[in-house]
Amino acid sequence: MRDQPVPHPIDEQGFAQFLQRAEPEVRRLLRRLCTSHADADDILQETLAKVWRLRAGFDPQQNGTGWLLQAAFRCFCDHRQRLRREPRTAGSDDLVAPECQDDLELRDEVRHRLGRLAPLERELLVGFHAHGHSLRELAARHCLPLNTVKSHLQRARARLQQEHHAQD
Amino acid sequence: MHKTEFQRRWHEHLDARRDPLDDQELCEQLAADPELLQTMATQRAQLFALPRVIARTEPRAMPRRPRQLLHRGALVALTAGLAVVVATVAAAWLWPAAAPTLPPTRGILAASLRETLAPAGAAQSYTIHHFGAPTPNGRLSTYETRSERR
Repeated sequence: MRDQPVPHPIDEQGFAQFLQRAEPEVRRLLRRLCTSHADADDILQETLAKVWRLRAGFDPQQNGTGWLLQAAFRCFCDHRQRLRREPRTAGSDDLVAPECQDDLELRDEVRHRLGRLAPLERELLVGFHAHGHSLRELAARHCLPLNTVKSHLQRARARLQQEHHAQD
Repeated sequence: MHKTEFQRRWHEHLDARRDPLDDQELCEQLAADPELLQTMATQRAQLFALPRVIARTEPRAMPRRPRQLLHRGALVALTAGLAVVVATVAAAWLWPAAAPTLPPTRGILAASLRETLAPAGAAQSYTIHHFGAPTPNGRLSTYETRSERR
């Protein structure tokens, strides 16, 4: 995003409609980045306010949604840095949001795509990320070199997201 | 940053159980590439959700310690009991107890004679009762009738 907006005529109503159309996708990204849905919604509002202030710099010829996602991610990174400088205390409003529909959808996605991985890849992925086994433990269990286990794990992670993109 | 280098560092963080988004350079790369951002954000969220998915769907596939089926004390008690049983059986087999005394199964223990009155000139008849050895159900008795010329 450019810091100095290039002044050119902007259809504010059209821009507002564009934001409304793109909002679900941006919200989805932020809810996957954040541990709390409340945080995700806060960052979304901050993003929309920021891009509205900088709407003059919006180029309709470019990928508007991508531009909006980039803005949202930068707001998310700023939020993370603020959290590190000011750690939260227990009992604050920023509690982990209760399980909502998006979380259930994400878990359904994961459950479905796990079943489509190769058995060894699935075992390594679950063993490492769900059961907390170390790479060395997995290598010993499966009688594989450590680097081979790492390769399988990387492939399993990539295939998990590739399945996601295949359905997008 | 080249895509290959990005992936190498991303997985290196995950293998070390670090959040890749703590790497400033990786974040800059993601901020510059919206498509890569969506892909990696989804992967990260999926991996973070994996423990919750597995906890709900399946038990631990690789238990860290084998479970003990029996408590140690119970195991000792069971072993001791088995030893006693084995010893008892062996003793009974090696040193069988003396057979109990049973009453004689043969011979007449008692007898009685009763004269049977018969017509004159007939043979003298008499009956002999035999009282045999006692049996579990009582005492066995038999009788025989004999006759002889007067």
